[in-house]
Amino acid sequence: MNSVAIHSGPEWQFLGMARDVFGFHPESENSSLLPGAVLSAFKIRDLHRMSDRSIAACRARFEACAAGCSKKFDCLQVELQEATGIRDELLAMEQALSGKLLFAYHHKHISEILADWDELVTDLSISADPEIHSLAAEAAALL
Amino acid sequence: MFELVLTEAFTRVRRKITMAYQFSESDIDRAIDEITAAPDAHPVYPGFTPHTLRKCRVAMRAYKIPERKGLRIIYLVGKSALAPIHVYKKGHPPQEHMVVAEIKAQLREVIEELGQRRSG
Repeated sequence: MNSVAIHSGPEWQFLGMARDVFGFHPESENSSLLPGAVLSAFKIRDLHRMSDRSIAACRARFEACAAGCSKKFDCLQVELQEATGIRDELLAMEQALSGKLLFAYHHKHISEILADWDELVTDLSISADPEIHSLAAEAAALL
Repeated sequence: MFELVLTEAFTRVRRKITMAYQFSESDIDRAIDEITAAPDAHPVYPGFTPHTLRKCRVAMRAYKIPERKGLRIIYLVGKSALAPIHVYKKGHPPQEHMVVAEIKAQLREVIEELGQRRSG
């Protein structure tokens, strides 16, 4: 895997769009949020689609992960850090939106996006652990 | 067609899940049939080679829980055989390092069991 290509790819930049969507600070109780909430309801669907595409791109790269890559764990650690950063920001967004009726629609989408990124983080945590690799190799040899 | 290797280690963890979600037995059976028929059809964990470690996301129909929040079956695919290693409900355990620890423990048990089968 080429981590440089991964982290400069457009699919990793969708979080910037997420920040734009919530640039009006959803944690504020200000009633002037309504126009922003309506506008961002349209953007949130794009955000969800972009997230789905990002995760699909990551999964496609995983399928192509080279057998003889000597930097395997370094690369996976970089990916894990990136994905964890995105997951944690989504978690903060989800918590900021939670319980606010005006943002119920946003909250539903962000919760789903968060679940997907959380899953990616778990998958990368498993993959970036050298002990799991050696145990899996040992088990596979016995199959 | 891959040979399905069922271990006591997997059966134990499966029993634990089905005690908590008893109506998910058929979902797990269906998923294992799907895995056996097409092991490469499910997402792969990167970097494992020449064997692969994959996971199958399983919806819990009786509980109306979609794939996204449902069960995860982790399985190991060798040259001609595959073995389910672990099954857990998404979010239980809640943190990734706990999932990693569970998978390691399961792999150790599977290795021990397969080793005993081979020597016995």
